This record gives sequence, structure tokens and C-alpha cells, in this order.
Amino acid sequence: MKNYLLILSLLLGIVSPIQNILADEDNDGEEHEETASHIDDDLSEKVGIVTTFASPGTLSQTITVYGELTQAPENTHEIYARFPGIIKSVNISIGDTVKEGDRLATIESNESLKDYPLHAPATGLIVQRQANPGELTQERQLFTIVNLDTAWLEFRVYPAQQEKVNKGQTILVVINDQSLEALVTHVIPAADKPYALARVKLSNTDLNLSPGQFAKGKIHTRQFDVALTVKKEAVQELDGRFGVFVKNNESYEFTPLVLGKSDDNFFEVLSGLDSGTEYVSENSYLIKADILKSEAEDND
Amino acid sequence: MIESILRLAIERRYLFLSFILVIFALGIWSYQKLPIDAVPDITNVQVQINTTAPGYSPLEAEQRITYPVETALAGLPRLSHTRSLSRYGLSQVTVVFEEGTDIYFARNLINERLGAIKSVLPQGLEPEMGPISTGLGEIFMYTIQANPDARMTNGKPYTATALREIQDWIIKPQLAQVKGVIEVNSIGGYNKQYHVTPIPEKLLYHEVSFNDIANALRANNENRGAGYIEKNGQQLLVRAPGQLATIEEILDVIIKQNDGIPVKIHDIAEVAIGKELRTGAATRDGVETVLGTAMMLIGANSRTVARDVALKLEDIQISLPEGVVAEPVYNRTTLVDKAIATVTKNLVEGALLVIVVLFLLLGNLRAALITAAVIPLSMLMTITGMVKTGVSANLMSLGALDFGLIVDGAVIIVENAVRRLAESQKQNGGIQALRERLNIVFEATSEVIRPSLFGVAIITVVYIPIFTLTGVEGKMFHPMAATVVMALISAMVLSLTLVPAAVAVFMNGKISEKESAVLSATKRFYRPALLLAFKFRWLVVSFAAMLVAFSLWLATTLGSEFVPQLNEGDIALQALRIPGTGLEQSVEMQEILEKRIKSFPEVDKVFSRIGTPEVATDPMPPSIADTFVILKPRDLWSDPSKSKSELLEEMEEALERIPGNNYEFTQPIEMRFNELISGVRADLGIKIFGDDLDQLMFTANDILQIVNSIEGAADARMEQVEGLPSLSVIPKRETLGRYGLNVVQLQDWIATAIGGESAGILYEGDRRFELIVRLPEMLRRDIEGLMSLPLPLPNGDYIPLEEVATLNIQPSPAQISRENGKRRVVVTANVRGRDLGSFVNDVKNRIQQEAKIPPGYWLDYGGTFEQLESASQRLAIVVPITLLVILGILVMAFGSLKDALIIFTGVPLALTGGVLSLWLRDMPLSITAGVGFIALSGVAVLNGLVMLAFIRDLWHEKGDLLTSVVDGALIRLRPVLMTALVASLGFIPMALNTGTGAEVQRPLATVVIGGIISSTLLTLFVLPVLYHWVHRRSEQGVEAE
Repeated sequence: MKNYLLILSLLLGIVSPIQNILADEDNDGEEHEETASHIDDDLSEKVGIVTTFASPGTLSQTITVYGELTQAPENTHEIYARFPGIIKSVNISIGDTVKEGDRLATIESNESLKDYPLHAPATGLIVQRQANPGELTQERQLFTIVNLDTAWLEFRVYPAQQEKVNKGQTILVVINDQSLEALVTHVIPAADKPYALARVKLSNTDLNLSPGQFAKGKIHTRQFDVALTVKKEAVQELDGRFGVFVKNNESYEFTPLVLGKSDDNFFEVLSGLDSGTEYVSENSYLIKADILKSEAEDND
Repeated sequence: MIESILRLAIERRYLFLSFILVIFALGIWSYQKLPIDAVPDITNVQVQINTTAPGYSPLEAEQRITYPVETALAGLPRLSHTRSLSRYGLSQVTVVFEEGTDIYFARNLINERLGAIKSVLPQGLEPEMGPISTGLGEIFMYTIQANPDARMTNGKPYTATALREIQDWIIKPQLAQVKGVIEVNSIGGYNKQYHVTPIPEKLLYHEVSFNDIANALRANNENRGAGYIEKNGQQLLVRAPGQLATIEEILDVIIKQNDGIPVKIHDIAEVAIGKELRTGAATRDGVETVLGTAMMLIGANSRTVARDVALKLEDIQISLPEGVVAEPVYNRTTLVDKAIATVTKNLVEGALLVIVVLFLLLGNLRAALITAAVIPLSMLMTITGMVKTGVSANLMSLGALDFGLIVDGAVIIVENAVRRLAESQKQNGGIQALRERLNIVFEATSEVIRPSLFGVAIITVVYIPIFTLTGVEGKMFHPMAATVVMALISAMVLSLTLVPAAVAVFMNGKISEKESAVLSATKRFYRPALLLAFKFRWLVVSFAAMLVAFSLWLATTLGSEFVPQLNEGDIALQALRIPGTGLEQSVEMQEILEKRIKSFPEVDKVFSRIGTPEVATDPMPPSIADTFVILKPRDLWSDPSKSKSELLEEMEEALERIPGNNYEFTQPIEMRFNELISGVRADLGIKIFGDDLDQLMFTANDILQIVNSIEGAADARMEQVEGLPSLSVIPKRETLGRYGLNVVQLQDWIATAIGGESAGILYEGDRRFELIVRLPEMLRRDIEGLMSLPLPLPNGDYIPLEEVATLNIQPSPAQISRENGKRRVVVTANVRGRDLGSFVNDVKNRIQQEAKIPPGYWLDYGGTFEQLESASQRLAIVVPITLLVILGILVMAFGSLKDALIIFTGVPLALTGGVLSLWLRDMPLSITAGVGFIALSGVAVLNGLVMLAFIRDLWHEKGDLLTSVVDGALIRLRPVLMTALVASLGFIPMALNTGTGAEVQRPLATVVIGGIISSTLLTLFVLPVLYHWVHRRSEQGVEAE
């Protein structure tokens, strides 16, 4: 029997190596939190990383508004006959330009039976004519003279924007594919409407715009000179904090910032960065991706 | 019975020889039908159901598509499980069936269920089943590129959109016709679309809404048939054509009239060929391209299909516009041919070596040729068997074939017959008469047939544990075991019938049996050595025992891997970027990456798939790119001796420097398998099921912390769910109401403005392109500007968006995974430095005690630990049973438990050599090495069996134990050496080969060669010593009687 024991003990060895084989190991690298990334300069140029220096700057905030061109009431003249009577003659027709004091028509007064002239009260364009010789003037409007040399743009300012808009602000107007700069002349509430009107006076001598045309405006609401700015596209979010990547030699370190005001292109930096620091202004996403890349995995 | 078969074979020897022709004919015919591939197909029976839902976010896709589809599929017969993922614009449900389910049956069932839920799904969304293909399906890929000086008909250089159009409408329809191709998948470029992009202020001015535009386009883009009329006997068809054909025609469509003035499209919008919101892109050598993938039907022959596709693509080239080139970039035929070449080379060289050894040791060419003839014959029989049982020819199935092993039985028979014939010729001094010769052949054969049959039976039995492997391992190794068993049985049948018949026919005349010089020298050395061993038997036995103990220890120090990786020759690397990375950003990063890879002199081509292709066979987010690196043939390398792993290392180092990418290096087929099987690949996976994603994440985090605090936990991590920032436009309901708007009007407006609204189709012959209304790109991208965009009111007025909605950017789920109809989040962990079982128990206990799992949430434990556990449990039962069966066979053969156990000692002794050789070659333990050990045990038992049977017979004849042992050992020296030499030499080409696929076979061959050397030495010394030692007492007992 003793002999069997020896033999059996040799045999027992067979099972264990087979079980060993089934133990599959896989070695993954270790993970640790990082907020910096190292990229060689020749490489960073190749991948399109651009840096710039943090500097003071001016922020200019804008809002976009829409509106239309209206005839200015002060430039629109509706001409009535002073005394009712018969229209003897009409000197102008639609489309004529008249100067102040030009005779528009001659009317025979019903009371005095005398002819009297109807003069243009202002320079402008005849846009309406409802008077022909022989007609009674009654109490009706005979002509409309409009002066289009100055026009008014009325932009709608909705409640959410209202407090930012004040008179005197500059506005970039885009109308009829032309853009021009102007000033907000005043802001008035519109009757029965939820919005206010920001009115902008335009000189129309060269533009030849006609009332009713639609315009888009960008009002420069506020302007600030700030001590330090960073480009908007430079700012990335990392672990819930916003910041930029500061370049130090060939390493890029995430620097969380306290950001203040912003405009279309820049953020104001309240703290976290010194003036003149070199930070990544373009393709900053690449660096964020590099820092977080250990999180990238395929889980399907 | 064995004897009557033998007698029949020798009597009817010519009839039996004529069976050779039958075997040949059948074998060659079967070979034509044998599916050939590089590796076995390990994909499970699965059907993917993809629903493309443009614009749907993961949450919406899950809620409105995935859920109904999953629910509809519950309770299908033979269903194993379902899993799903919902991503931007896509819902994919993968239905996995039990092994062995007919795929067409499964698809039919699914089709029926999908039909029933059509009405539940949002209108216009069609769930579609993925192609009937497997992990081996992506057999051919090609890119479409234009020469730099090639021009489109409008004189401009080719755009990605134009190339995609060529792929979709010229190449794809033709390739789809190739037999065996089930799908041609496209990725890259843009689907051509006509975009109508209205300018907001013009919309306001003309009081036109998005809806008005879409409606106007729909109402002006239709052909109508109006029946027919007969005029003067002639039939005239009446039709009213009205389809839009050109951009000019679109511009002229009238939307409405304002005060009698028509407002046309061109008054308010621009029309141009635009880019779709694509989900995937492709690049090649650092430039965007269009990539086509031909997928093979399940069960087709990848080699022929890939070749046919390549030929067809050459044909198609003629039909492409001038300057546009469709170039193959990946062709499976190359790999299969290489793998087959490796196998063939191994087999042929092995066979030649076997023949040489046989000739040298037998000293008789005819005998050597007869034995060698078993090789092709058993091969042909095996091929026939493979076709019948549906086993495909690949590296795995053909990899374990060792002709040395196969001819073992025949070697023993032929050797004995030659020896007996020669002896009798020596005694009688001349050539025997026919009858006498036949008799000698019969006797010689029947003398050894029993042990050799038992031996083959044992080797076959030894393979049984492999058949108990399940899952991926099972699929990988069943073909291997099946093929070897078939080959062994074929050889067994042959050595029972054809071999004696051939010996009887051809071994006439003078039998030259020269003992070669090597053999006689060995014999001269062997006798004194053996006697010495008897003297120091304690030393010998304890040395053997120590050797076994040492190698067992050594085995534990070897690393282990499950399956050695087949070197596919090409590299696939997944470039992973942080979730939420946009497609265009990803493409840019990929281009940089590819340029760097391409700069390696060893690289021929590099191309990538980024994101999800048209048919979502592999739904990746845009942040992930599958990069394929095709290497130049090795002889074109500047340093042809550089190994692939060296190249990989260099590449990894270089790519590591490129910022923003994480890499996973793998290989094309391997990657595809991983994608399709995609279970939990860590040791332990804890799945948390429940409803609320936030709660799931919270609980998962809890569990992650618990797991991390348990000793032995490594790489514990939680599945990423968050990560895709989303911009939510949240309606202010009160304000909306004040302006007379519904939420849906706001949503529609945003959907059209940002995502676009389809307003019909433009036909160009067969080709059809979508007509889309959406905001100009400039405005779509400007998030701040979005707030002030004017939203039209029902009364013709407008308000800026910020009046009625707030914008909010916050992280949201990038994808939602579900399993068996419930949302789930997985926490995975690997185990280091402690055993898996206790770790899992610890984890379970701690989670039960510490984790707060709210009602309605539950856990499920899975991972490889499950497979390992079940495999270990199964093997723990099956391996001892197998050993018992072998022991039983041995006891049957000898009628003695003692002898059976003595023979059995050969097994651990054989293993020592295997372990040593692995250690010498610095190879880890693996399943293939395990298969080698299994084959080895068989050979060791066979050797011992033959040796012991002879010694025992001699002992019975002569009565003196010691002399019988020594004489028996000496007589059996030649066959033992022969079987050992042929078996090990047969594997030498395999052990040394460096060709494609050799790495799968190398461990196996290494183990067998090393093991056979040790087992032969030990059979020759330890076995006789043990036998003598064990039987000494019984001999004394005999003498005492």
C-alpha cells in the first residue's frame, strides 16, 4: 500500500497546473489624478496648439435686437386745405421732390371765393396725392410729404434685455446687407406691447432705405476696461472648475480661474492668473483631452 | 473482434488497399467544401437590432425606442439574454440566443415581434436587424479616393460628399451582389443633402415660418400619375411631373404671397448641397476618406468571398469616374493564406521529418513509407470528418495536429512486424512463403495492436476535458480537440486495417533490418545505465519525485495567459478620447495620429473608422476611432528581424507623445470579436439594475468605494455613464403661454433650426437625396446668438428665444446601457494577490452589510470569475474522472491496478519536461500549452504501456523479474525511441516557425517536445525501476510459494 501513496502523490500534480492555466491575469497601468500635460514644442505646433499672453483688455458686451425702419413722424407731413373749397390746380404729382415753401396746389376758398396757395411745409418727397383740379377739398388729406433724409429704426427690446439698453449706446445696424454704426437716440415703451423700442436715427441720404424694411442690430450695452482677460475659447472645464492651461516650458498646467464679466471673445479674469502668463488660446480642448485621457474607454 | 478484423485485413489485403482510393476521393471532394479561416469563430448566436433615430438624445432613444423593442423581445424561445445601448441618434438592442440556435429561426422570431410593435414606435423610425454575419465577417475593406488633379463635372476637386455618393450609388450596389457578401457598410464622407438655410430676419420680414418653407417644398415636389386616355386608338399615359431637380428650381419655389407679391425661397434662404449631421467619419493616411466594408454571410468561406470581392472591386474600377480610385486596404485572404501556409509548412515539414526518422530507425524504406502513408490518409479522413461535423479549418483546429503522434500506433505495428519478419528470416535463412509471412504479420500485429489501440484510446480520452469547456474557450478549443480526436481515430482505424494489409503486401522479399549505428550505440549505453539505475533505485525514484515537485513549483512561477494571441500581421488600435469629444475634433486628432503612424517605415497603410458607420454594426461614439495599421511585408522592412512586439512598443511610445489620445492595441479580428462578445471582461463585474440613472450612479459609487477598500482589489472602476455635455433649451411655460405658444411649437422650432427638418426627397435617377430645412451653419453654432434668435409667434409677431426659454449646459448620459430589460451600471474590478473565490465572497458580504441599495434596485454578480469558477469546478470533476477512465483502461489492459498506476507515473514525469521547456523558452502557461500537456500525457501512457506490456509478457515467459525487465526494456528501446522521436520531431517545425499564426501553436509544440524528451528518459529508466521495485515482493512471494 505504501507504494501506491508515492504514485498517487505524483498523480495529484496533474490537476493543479490545469487550474493554473485558467487563471487569466491582466495588467492595467495605475491611475492617478493629474492636471498637467507634457507636450513637446515641435509636436504642439504640429497639432495646432497656439498660446498667447494674458493681458489687460476692454470688454464690450452686446445684445442682438431686431426691428424695422419707420417713417419719422416729424418728417411726415399730411397736407390738408386750410379753408374748404374747390381745387383749382395741382402743381405736383407723386414722386416729385418739393422744397419748403413750394406751391403744391391752388384752392378757391368756399367762404371768400378767393384763390389761395397751398405751400409745402417742409422739404420732402410727395408720396401721396388725393387731390385733382375740380374736386372739393372737404376735410380730407390732400398730400403726404415725407422726408426720407433721416429715418428712424425702431428696435424691439424685450424685458430680459431692457435694463441693459440706454440711450446714447452705439449700435451696429445691419440692414439690407449693409452695416453701419449709429447711436441709440432714445428708448421708449411701445404701447400695448411687451417690449420697448430703442429708436435710432439714421441719415438716409445715401442709403435710400424705405420704411418697413427689417433690420438687425447689435447694441453695445456696456464697455469695461479690465485688468486681465483671457480668450473665451481658451477656457475649459475640468472637474467642474473653469480655467485655462498655462504653458511652462513644454508642460501645460490647468489653472482654475475666477472669471468675471465676458463679451463675445473674452473673459475677465478676477483671480488665478498673472498678467503676462502664457496660456493656450487655441485647441485647448486637446490638452483637456490629454489630461483626462485615462478616463477614455470603450464601454459597449 | 480485433483479431478477426486483423485477419480479414490481411486476408483481403488488396480489397483493403483499394479503400485508399475511396479515402482519397472522399477526402479531396470534402476539401473543396471545407470552410477555411484564420481562427475559429467565437461569436455567440446574436442578432443586433439597430434603430437610427436622427436627433434623438440617449435618454429619448432609450425611452421611446429601446424600451419598446426590448419589451417586445422578452420571452422569445431559446433567448439567452438581451442587452442594449442607447446613444445619440441610435438605439441598439443585441439579442443573444442559446448556443446552437438556428440564426434564421431566431431572426424570424424577432422579425415577427418587431412587426407587432411598429405602431408603438415614433413615426418614421424602423428597427432593422444587423447583417447576418459574425465576428469574422469584416473580410474586406476599401477606401475611395480621388487623385488630386481629378475634377468633378462642375470642375471642382472631389469633395467627401461626392466620394460618398460614388460609394453609395456605384460601388455598393455592385459589391453587394458578390456571393457570400451580406452587407456593404459605408462610413466617411457625407450623405449628400440639399440644404435650405433661411435667414431669420428675412423670415420675419416676409412673415414666413420654418413650417411654411417645409410645407411649400413638400407641396411643390411631387410627380403624379393621372391614369391614361385613349385617343385615336392610341393609349396615352397622363402624368403631371412636378419634382424639383436643381437648386435653381428649389430657389424658385413660392412660399406664400404677401399683398400679392410672391415670396420665393430665394427671398428668404440660401440653397446649397450641405453636410448631413453625420455620426461617423473615416480617414486614411491622415486624410479624410470614404471607407467601405464588405461583410461576409455567416458560415461562408472567408477566403473565397474576400477574393471574389477583390476581383469585383477591380471590375468596378472601370465604372468609376476618371481619377477616382477604390483601393482595397484590408483583405482577409492575405491572412488566411498566410495562416494556411504556416499550417501546411508545419505539417509537410513535420511529415518529412517523421519519414526520415522512421527510415533511419527502421532501416527499411518500405516500412518507413507504409508508416508515412498513414499521414496523408488520416489527414484526408480528418478533412472528411471536419466537413461532416462542421468544423472549419483554421490555425486552432489544424494547429494541434502532430503527425508523429498520429503515426505512433502505426509505428509500433510496423516496427514489430519488421522485427519479427527479419528475425524469422534470420532463423530460416531465407524468404518465407506467403502464408508464413502473412502469419508472422498477423502475429506481430496482434502482439502490439492491443497496447497501441489502448494507447490511442487513452490519448483520445485525454482530450475529453477540452470538450467540457464552454463559452469562448469552448468555441476556441472544441474544433482543436475534435480535429485531433478525428485524426487519431482515423489513424487508429488505419493501423488496424490498412497498415497490416500494406505490410502483408509490400514487405515481401528480403527484409533489411539494419540496426543503425546510433541505435546500437544507444543500446550499448542503455544496458549498463539501466543496471546502474537498479542499483541506486532509491536515488532514481526520489530524483524523479523531486523533479516533479520542482517543475510543479516552476509551473506556478510561469505567467499565464488564456489563449496565446494569433498574430494577424496587422495592427488594430483603438484611439480613445474623452467622452463628449466632437466628431470633427476627433477627425482632426485622428489625422495627426495617422500621419505619425504612417511615418513608420514598416507601415504600408493606415486607415480608421471614427464613430458609427451607416449600418451600426459597431456603434462607437465619435470620441473613439478604430485604427487599422497594415504593415509592409517583412522583407521590405529596413530591419526584417524586428519583432512585431518591438514595433508595437516603438509605436506606443511615439503615439504616447501625441496629446489627447488613449490607446488600446489589438488586432482587427480580435477587436471585432471583443466588440461583438463584449461581456464584462474583468474578474468581477457587479451590475446594478434600477430605474433612476442618478441613483444608479450613486449606488455604483458606493459599491466602488466598498470594493476599493477590500484587500486584493485592483483596477476597480465604474462604467462611465456621464460625459456627454448637453445643451438643454428649457421652456419657460408661463411666458410661453402669455405669447400664445405651446411647448411643442418651441420644440419644433428648435429641432428645425438646429437639427433640421426633412422636407422631401430630390431624385437624380436612382439616386435620392434628402431636402433639409435648417439654420445656416454660422447661426447654428453660435450658442450665445441662439438666445436672441427671433421665434415667430402665431400672430405673425416674434420674440427672442431668451424670453421664453433658458439655456443650460450640463453633463448628461453619453449612453444608457440596459440588460435584460433594465437600466444597469457596472462596477468592475480585478483581483491581485489573493484567490478570486474568497475575494468575491468578501465583496458580496461587505456590500450586503454596508451598501445602501434602495428598494427597486438590485445587484447581479458576473465577470470572468464566473467562467473561471464554473470551468474550474467542471475541470475539478472532469479531470479526475478522465484520469479514472484512463486508469480503468489501463487496468483493463493489464488486469492489474499496480501496473496501471506504474504506467500512470509516466504522466507527471512527462509534464516535468513540458514545464521545463516552457520555462526555457520563456513562455507562459496557456490553454494551448495545456492541450500540449494533454497530448503529452497520452504519449507518456502509450510509451509506458508498450514497455510494460512487453516486460510483463517476458516475465511470464521467463520467470525471472530482473532479466525480463532489462531485456524487455532493451527490446522496446527502439519503438519507444521511435514514437518519441517522431512525435517530438513532428512538432519541431511548429515549435520553430515564426510565420503568421505560429504563435498559437508554438507553446503546444514546445510542451510536447520537452515533455517527450523527459518522458522518454523517464520511461526508459524510472519505469523499469519502479516496476521491478513494486513487483519484487510479489516475485519473492512467487518464489516462496
